[in-house]
Amino acid sequence: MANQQLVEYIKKVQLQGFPEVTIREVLNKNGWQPVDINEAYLEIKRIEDILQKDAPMAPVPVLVGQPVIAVSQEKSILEKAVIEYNSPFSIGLAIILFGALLILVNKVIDDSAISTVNANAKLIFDAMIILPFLVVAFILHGSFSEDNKRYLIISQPYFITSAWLLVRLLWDTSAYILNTNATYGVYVVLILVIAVLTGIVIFIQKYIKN
Amino acid sequence: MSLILEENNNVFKTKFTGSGSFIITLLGLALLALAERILYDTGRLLIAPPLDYFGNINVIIMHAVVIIAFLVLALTINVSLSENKKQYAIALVPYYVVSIILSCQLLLQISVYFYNHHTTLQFYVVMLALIAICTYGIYYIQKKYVVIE
Repeated sequence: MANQQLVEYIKKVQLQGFPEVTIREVLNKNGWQPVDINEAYLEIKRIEDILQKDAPMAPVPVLVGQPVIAVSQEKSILEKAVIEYNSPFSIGLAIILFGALLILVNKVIDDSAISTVNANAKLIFDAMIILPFLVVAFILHGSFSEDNKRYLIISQPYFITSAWLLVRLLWDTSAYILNTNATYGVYVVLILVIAVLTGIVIFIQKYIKN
Repeated sequence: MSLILEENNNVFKTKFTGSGSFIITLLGLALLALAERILYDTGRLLIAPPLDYFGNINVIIMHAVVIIAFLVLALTINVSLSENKKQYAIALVPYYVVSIILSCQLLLQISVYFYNHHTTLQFYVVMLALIAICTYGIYYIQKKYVVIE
């Protein structure tokens, strides 16, 4: 199904006289997939066909001549319009959200160090918190990025926090390996991390790449 | 006398004249000063001493209540007015910016306190409230935001 906002946008800039080539080029540059753009154009054509059938005697509007605006100016206007997915209000809140998440999860992990005496248990406990968090953040991020790009900013603080936690987990594990003889906790954590990351990479390649 | 040099659909990208920038900056600083004074007085008058921003959990909780309420209020008014009455939305932007600065201050207070103390239930309540409000706030704003202008 065609993205309605994209359809509305293309109709709007077409009425302003921008050529299809320029519109496609700029939309491509700004992250829109060719399949989305094609769908939007098909949808516009379908609507136009229906309107023509309903009003066969109506005069067809003809755009005369080229727009007055220069091509470079056209591109800058379109680029500026397409890039802005996020409200500035959301960006401010996202910064606060990221800070709050970072503080909360780091504190939870620090507290786990106090409550667990055994280093093996601590590593595994950390992995049990961090890896599900990573998976949930990834699913949230992936689900928004497909159809609802406007909501992507919600998942970004969670996603970045989960990436930071993963780095921290690997750092703790590495420090443990260097300071003590390898025990089962290290193997469990590393195997879990590798399994989750492999799963994420396969999932991206299979479902999201195209 | 004009405050605005060039209007923009995005209120944060509106270009101000020199006098406009001066007045908006002063407004922001005055708001920050007022908010800090309110935080100081609420901590001083309503909470038992010592008045320690980074060492007394009750002071931090009181600040959290004030700051989160201010954040929600500033956010709601800014978002609703920025769509309907753009000429007034410009005046409200400093309120929003100050609420973000105060939230950062709250995060700093919480970080320092809990770096030095054991975690308590209040910590989770404040942090989860902040996270829930920010998440819903972003969703609410993005839902109303017109992506393609």
